[in-house]
Amino acid sequence: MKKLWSVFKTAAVERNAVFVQFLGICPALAVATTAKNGIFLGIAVTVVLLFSGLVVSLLRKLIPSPIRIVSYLVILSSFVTVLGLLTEAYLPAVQTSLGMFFPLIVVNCLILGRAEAFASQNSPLPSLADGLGTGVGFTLVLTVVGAIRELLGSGTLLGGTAWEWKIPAFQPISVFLLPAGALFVLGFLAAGVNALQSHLEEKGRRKEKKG
Amino acid sequence: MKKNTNPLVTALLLTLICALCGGLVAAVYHLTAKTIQENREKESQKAPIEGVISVHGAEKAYGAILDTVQAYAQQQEGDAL
Repeated sequence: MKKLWSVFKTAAVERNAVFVQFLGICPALAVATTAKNGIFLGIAVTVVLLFSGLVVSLLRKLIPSPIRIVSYLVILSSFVTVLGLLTEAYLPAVQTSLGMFFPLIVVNCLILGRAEAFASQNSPLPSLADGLGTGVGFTLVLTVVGAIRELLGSGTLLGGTAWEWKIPAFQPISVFLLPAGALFVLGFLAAGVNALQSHLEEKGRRKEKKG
Repeated sequence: MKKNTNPLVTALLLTLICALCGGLVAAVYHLTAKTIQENREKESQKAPIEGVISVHGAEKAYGAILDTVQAYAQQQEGDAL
């Protein structure tokens, strides 16, 4: 259990897909214009990561090396198609708000990267923990980026939902709704998170030296 | 992961993976096709301009244009009547 928690924590925080590895930032720039979109896309990516990680891990001893990438792509695209069909049937509003970025999850290098780097070399349980950790970390980043862009670009938070909140007398800065604004937000957030992580590591080292 | 495998076995394995994945997609499609069709019919009954502008959550950015177009359409309808 400790090992699984360690795998989850590493995937979600220490090796965060967006802030540390800078993987899969295309949807972070394009789709995360609102917190709602960020949450939806994050959940979709997490579900695909979980199932594809599990299947790749189960078939890892069966798939020959020369066809591994094409096999992973077939598995990934199947799960994305299944999720797309289920969403279109039961949550059509989500499908509409994510638009073409939903099927583009197939080519998200984050998912293929985790299948190749982790799931193909580990047993199913750690692969599930890694998929969940990576997905949770990715969802958190997309939600934060989306929330900041929505606040600055539209002056609202969770717009179009029952929990909508508006900033009173605020002039929206529309550049934050564009990919350029997303680059600003993501860059500053990544810098802040990496600075905080370095500071905490330094603090830990000093404590160790004193101890 | 297997390093050296007979090409025939490799081809068979890939076919098997494709068949399994295709079967999964076909099964889910079979289960959801009716609901998707109903949703599409509902969507097609909406005003066409509303359907176009709501794509990709752009309705906020184009809200003002939508209002103007709708007001113009209503005016035209009123004039025609």
